[in-house]
Amino acid sequence: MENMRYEINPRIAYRKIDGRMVIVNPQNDEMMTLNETGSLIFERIGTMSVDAIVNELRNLFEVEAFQAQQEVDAFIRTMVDEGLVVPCP
Amino acid sequence: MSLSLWERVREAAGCPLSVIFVLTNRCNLRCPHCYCPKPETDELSTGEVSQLLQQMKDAGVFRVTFTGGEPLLREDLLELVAEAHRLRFIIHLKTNGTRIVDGMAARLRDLGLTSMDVSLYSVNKDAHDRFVGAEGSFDAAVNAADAFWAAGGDVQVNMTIMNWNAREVPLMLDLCAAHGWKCGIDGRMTATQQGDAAPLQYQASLDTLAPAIEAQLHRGILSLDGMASCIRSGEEQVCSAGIEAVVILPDGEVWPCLTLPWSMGNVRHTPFRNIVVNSPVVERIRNIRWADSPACVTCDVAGLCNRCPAEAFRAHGDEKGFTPTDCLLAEARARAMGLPRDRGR
Ligand code: SF4
Ligand code: SF4
Repeated sequence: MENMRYEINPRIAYRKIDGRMVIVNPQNDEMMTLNETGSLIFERIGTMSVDAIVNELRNLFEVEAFQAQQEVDAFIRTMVDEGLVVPCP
Repeated sequence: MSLSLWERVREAAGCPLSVIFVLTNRCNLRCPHCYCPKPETDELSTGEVSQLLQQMKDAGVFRVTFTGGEPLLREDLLELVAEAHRLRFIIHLKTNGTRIVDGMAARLRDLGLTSMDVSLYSVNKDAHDRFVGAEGSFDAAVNAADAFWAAGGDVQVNMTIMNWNAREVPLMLDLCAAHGWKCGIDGRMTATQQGDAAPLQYQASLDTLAPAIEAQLHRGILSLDGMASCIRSGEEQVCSAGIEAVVILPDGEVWPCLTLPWSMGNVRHTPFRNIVVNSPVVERIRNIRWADSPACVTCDVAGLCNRCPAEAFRAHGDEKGFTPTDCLLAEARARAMGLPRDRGR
């Protein structure tokens, strides 16, 4: 997953409200709110590779590379499963 | 009472999450029951609408519904859909379908349109065309709906029922099911936005409405169980106009609802957020309670009632009252469910 790039599904809507990312998937009309870390990762998808996001997370939160990698991977996997994020072609 | 996630986000944003955007009052059809005023208005320009979309996004709005009149009469509709998509809105379009020709449906979908609502008044093309005053309208609407659905978009056909077409509800449900469309059936007529009561002559009667509702219950496309079991507290708010959504009219006026003619401000003079946040108009709506009408407190079909303050305001100048149409619709739902009536109003 490291060097991969993902992009936000162009059909979903998202807004930053009170510092948190809020996402709506029009396919099921479900709303999801992300926590601080999730919001940070989500905002970088589309402009950064997974590697770059992991590095930024390490610097910002001073965590081990392995832990940062696991968090980013798990987050992106959930987003892909929900159809909110898609791998770049 | 616990709030849903949508409600919590709305509270956090401090503004409605949906906007109904009436892009134009112009229309190429002549439906006699229409609530929309015909006079031309000084419509917001493409630039003004684009700027406003940005303000709506910044305020936290997720959904925009482009409607009219017929929104496709605006030359810039495609441009506005593309801009709304760029700003990450969920975009709905309400149309009569007659202008969606030559690949336009697929183009709208490509540009980011999420769903399309098309109006049909009959399954019989001649009856539909006669009612809307333009030959070929039925075929055009069906083709538009089919093309948008084939392009991967959601389609809903909306049918307003009147005494002349209510018996067709089961056939309309069949037609929609066969094409993969959702079906929305509406039984309420409203006065025009200028207060002309002429459309009310088309209000369907109790004997027509009840079987039409029953047909929807049978097919499972409507459930009233939640409403039927609801006990209205006298303190409960009557409607959420201006809270869940606001309406922007072609000239930039902001109303809480398509039928409630209270100006909240005009986007030409005031930024969107300043209009919708802490609006005194919305405060006035929040203060409309079920107990304001004593008859509603003892009414045995109150749970099945969507009492409309706009209609009461137009009919009696008092938003805290109710109209015979409110009672008619609640009664029709009760009859469709076969509920025994044990108390009168
Ligand atoms: S109940 Fe009446 S005033 Fe309230 S949102 Fe519905 S139509 Fe508008
Ligand atoms: S049916 Fe009529 S009386 Fe009963 S709650 Fe509705 S408006 Fe009030």
